[in-house]
Amino acid sequence: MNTLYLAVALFLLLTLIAGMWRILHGPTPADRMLAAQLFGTTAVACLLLLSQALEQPALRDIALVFALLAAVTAIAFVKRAWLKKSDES
Amino acid sequence: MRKIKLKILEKKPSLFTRLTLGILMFLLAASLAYAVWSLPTQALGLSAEVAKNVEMSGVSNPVTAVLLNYRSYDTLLELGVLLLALFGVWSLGGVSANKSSFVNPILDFLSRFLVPVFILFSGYLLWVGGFAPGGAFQAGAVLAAAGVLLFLNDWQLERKYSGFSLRFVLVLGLVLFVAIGFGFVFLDRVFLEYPPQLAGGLILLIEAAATLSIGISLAALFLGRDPSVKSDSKIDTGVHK
Amino acid sequence: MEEISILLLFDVLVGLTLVWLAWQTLSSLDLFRAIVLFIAFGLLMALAWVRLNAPDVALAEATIGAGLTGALFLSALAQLSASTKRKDEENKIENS
Repeated sequence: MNTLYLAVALFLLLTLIAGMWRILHGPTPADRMLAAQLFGTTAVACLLLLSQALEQPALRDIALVFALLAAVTAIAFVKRAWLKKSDES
Repeated sequence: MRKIKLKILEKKPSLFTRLTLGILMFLLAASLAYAVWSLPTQALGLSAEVAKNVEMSGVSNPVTAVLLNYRSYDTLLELGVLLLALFGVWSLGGVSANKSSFVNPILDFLSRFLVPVFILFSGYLLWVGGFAPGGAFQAGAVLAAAGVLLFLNDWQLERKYSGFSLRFVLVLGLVLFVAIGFGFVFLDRVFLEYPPQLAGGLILLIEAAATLSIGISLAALFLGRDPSVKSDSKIDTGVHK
Repeated sequence: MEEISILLLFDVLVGLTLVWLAWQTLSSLDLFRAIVLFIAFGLLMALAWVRLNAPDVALAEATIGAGLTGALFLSALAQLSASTKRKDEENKIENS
């Protein structure tokens, strides 16, 4: 069972690396930011699987931190970077 | 948002510069690699000592034991560094308040919903630090995230709290830490040594105060100006109108 | 020993991606792109600390990286673009 968890975690890491394409090439800032948010979600799943497979319950707290605090970056983006898009060249 | 580009990166340096830098970097990397390579594979370290004495420290998480008991001097000075950083930022004058004209109802609801959860989670991290990963710094950072969320939502600290009350909370962690550290000097112990039977409670007390101070300091650093100075009387930020 | 080989692959991938992300962040000309790359770097760094068996550090990295630095950098960028815009306008007035 642990092998399955680890394999899924590895697969999630691969999807995360594939998502890097959107951050590097995403045409608009919103694309880049959403890709980073998706990274956060994937990292949560990855951490939960690792905590189960490696029997380290503390990793669930780290996953909880990511899940909770992801909102802060998203709101900062919307408030500080995105609303001013209308006056971009 | 206008794209800001780093002009310094736009023109390429000469071949000579790049070659010299490349060789220097290679030498640095090689010496670092050599240093890592020559480390003993089985480092002795102090982890065995820590594990042996962890019962005396009052907490069962060895990291917290090191940070707040064996090496509490470091943690004490770190609190001081954070406070100094905040004074440095305040002394620079500060950025103008970045206010948007309308209240977003979704954002308003979200921050009302999330801020109590952040505060609860901060308390959880503080408590769990005694026996599992967690502790004052992490709890303080989560508390600061709640503050950041409020500031992003154009929340302002009421003026009556931004003077003495704010400064009191900012120095609370440091003052309590030093006070407890000195308190036992009069009872024939060295500075920052706690009696083992009281250590658990004292560490929790210090950590609780430190969490508040760290959280408020980090949030104030995000704000970037002294809230007791009126925000509309804008201080010169180096850009003249 | 499938588990160990999967974990080894995981570690190698995290390590390589971290170095690559760091390079991309430092060499990015667009500051917004650099910020988003740095946020992603923080996430992967937390995973790396987890794999290095340092959950305390991972927790600190996660709280600071996800909650504070991203928001701080984005606010700083907004401030910076506002001030450079003001400077540009001043230059225009002076030149005309």
